[in-house]
Amino acid sequence: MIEQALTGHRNYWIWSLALLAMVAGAFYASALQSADGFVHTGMGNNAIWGLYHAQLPFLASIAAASLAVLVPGTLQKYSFLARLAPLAAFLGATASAMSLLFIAADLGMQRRFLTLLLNPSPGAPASWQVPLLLLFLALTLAVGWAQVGAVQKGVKQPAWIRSAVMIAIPAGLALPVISAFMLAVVPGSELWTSPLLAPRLMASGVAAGAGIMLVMAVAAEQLAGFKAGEEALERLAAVAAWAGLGSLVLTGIEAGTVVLGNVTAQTSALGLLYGNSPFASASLFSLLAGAAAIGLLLVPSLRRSSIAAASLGALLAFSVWLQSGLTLILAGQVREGLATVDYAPALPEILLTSGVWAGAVLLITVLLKITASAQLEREGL
Amino acid sequence: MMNNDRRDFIRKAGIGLLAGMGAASGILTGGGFERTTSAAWAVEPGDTGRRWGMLIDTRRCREGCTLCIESCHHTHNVPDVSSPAGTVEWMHKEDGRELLGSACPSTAALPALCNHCAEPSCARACPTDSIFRRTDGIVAIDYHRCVGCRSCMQGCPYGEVSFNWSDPRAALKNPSVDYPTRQRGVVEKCNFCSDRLARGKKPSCVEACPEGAISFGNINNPSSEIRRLLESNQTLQRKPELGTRPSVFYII
Repeated sequence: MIEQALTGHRNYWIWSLALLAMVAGAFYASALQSADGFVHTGMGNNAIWGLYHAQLPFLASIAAASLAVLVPGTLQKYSFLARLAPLAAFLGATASAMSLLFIAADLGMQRRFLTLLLNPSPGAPASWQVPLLLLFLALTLAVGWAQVGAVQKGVKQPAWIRSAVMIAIPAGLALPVISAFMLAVVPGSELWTSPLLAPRLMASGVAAGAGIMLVMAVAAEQLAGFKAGEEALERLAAVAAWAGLGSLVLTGIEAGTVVLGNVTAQTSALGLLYGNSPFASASLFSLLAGAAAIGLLLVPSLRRSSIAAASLGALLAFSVWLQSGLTLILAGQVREGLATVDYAPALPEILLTSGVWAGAVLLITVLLKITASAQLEREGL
Repeated sequence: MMNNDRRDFIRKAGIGLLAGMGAASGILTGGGFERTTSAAWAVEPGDTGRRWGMLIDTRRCREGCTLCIESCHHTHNVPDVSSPAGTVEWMHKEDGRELLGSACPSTAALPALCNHCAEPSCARACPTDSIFRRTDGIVAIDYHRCVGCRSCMQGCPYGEVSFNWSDPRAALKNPSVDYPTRQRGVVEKCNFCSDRLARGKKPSCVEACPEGAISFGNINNPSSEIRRLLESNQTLQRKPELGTRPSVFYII
């Protein structure tokens, strides 16, 4: 199967090399950071966490979202989703791997990464993050790979896949909850201590994850001859729309509670997102773009056109990334009595972040190509 | 005449009763800000050990004097980083209203340091147990275990944890031999001079203050000097509403 990664058309190679060039940029930035620490980043006492940490809640929720297809596709015999199950598994694996890389990139003492496993502090939500990400990565990668192998050989899936997915369910669901709990230990930060943060991350993550899976499936169909099936694509679009709607409702309930309660600390935190603040334009764009994408995905004719649905899915995922990544982490650091967030990511930070994303897109490309070829090979027989 | 006296008596008795109830339950706050009640130094059931605490009498704190900070930073090799985004501080002076809330009557710059909370949220945030509360109440950091994730900095509502964004050794002009230096990439903060306490000395800021404004002692011990001062003065803590139970108190 792996040999499929090394053969392809000219466009496949151009695409892969472009992504590899971005990965090389990340290696350069990482070397710079290993040598001099965070001095090449925009982080400092005014922004303790920056672009690296801002990826984590989003990626955790995407990893969890892969379960929305993986579970019905493998455990519940929804045959039309079974074809998408390896895609979902690979998305979960990629999101976990990215999270681990961003956690490592954000450590001041990178050579002590193993301390996170060797000296955990179970009372601290943060210490569950790395072990669970490693577990989820191993499970989803193994499940996806075995599923594609079974398709290629035309045999039944190995029985252990069911057990692996069952173990992956609690691990995956825990990821966004831990992301939210890691922020909840910060007293005095109203954006982070909201009890609705974990459910909001989960709902918006399912919406964004379904959006990304739509993009993956449609790209594999258009470029590699993969057949996802109309019914599966429409189901993905519906999951994205309804989960997105749920996330909008939760956001509205939270805002309504804050406005009615009128507690100064809470209203000023809400104002940081939507009032007169540097984060307002990103937050409002995210809200409006997300609402528009969700509204359009609910229109049956648009949902059934695969290109339109994939574009809307991408827009929805981007809006969720802005909301549960960027603004949540950056605005959440502004606290009464402490310095304001004065942050602009520096070039090495941007290189490293975009390099990790490029590496992830490359990994997904290769895995999708392998999945599509396995399917084609089987049907060609 | 008789009637008036009786009315007066009832009124006074009523006020006295209310005040007594208020004091007993610790809700009588008097002014606009939350004064510390005896609950702040109550010994938790099962806690028989020490709880080191500090009391800063800001009435004696001189405007513009930074001797406590200088002594602290020299003793512990705290780097003097010039850029504001990279500052490392164990102790600093801050506007009284920023420190103790808008109702604080003092706008003078008051000394601030780690509160060595009885319920430290920094320790709850640390994934590797590198920042932890000792049995004597001191919240300490293991610089050799810290991975530099800065969760404790986010967790501290007082902003009293610093991160070494750059190499701290390069920013030391006159290093002290009594305490180790740190490396780039780990957090640090006030350790209540646990190193000096182990040698039977008082914290360096306490010794350095020419006005004797800083008292230090075991607040679990009812006969300690700090406990006597806490019980005989009105004191304030930083953000007591967050439930962190700070061990640093202020007399305004």
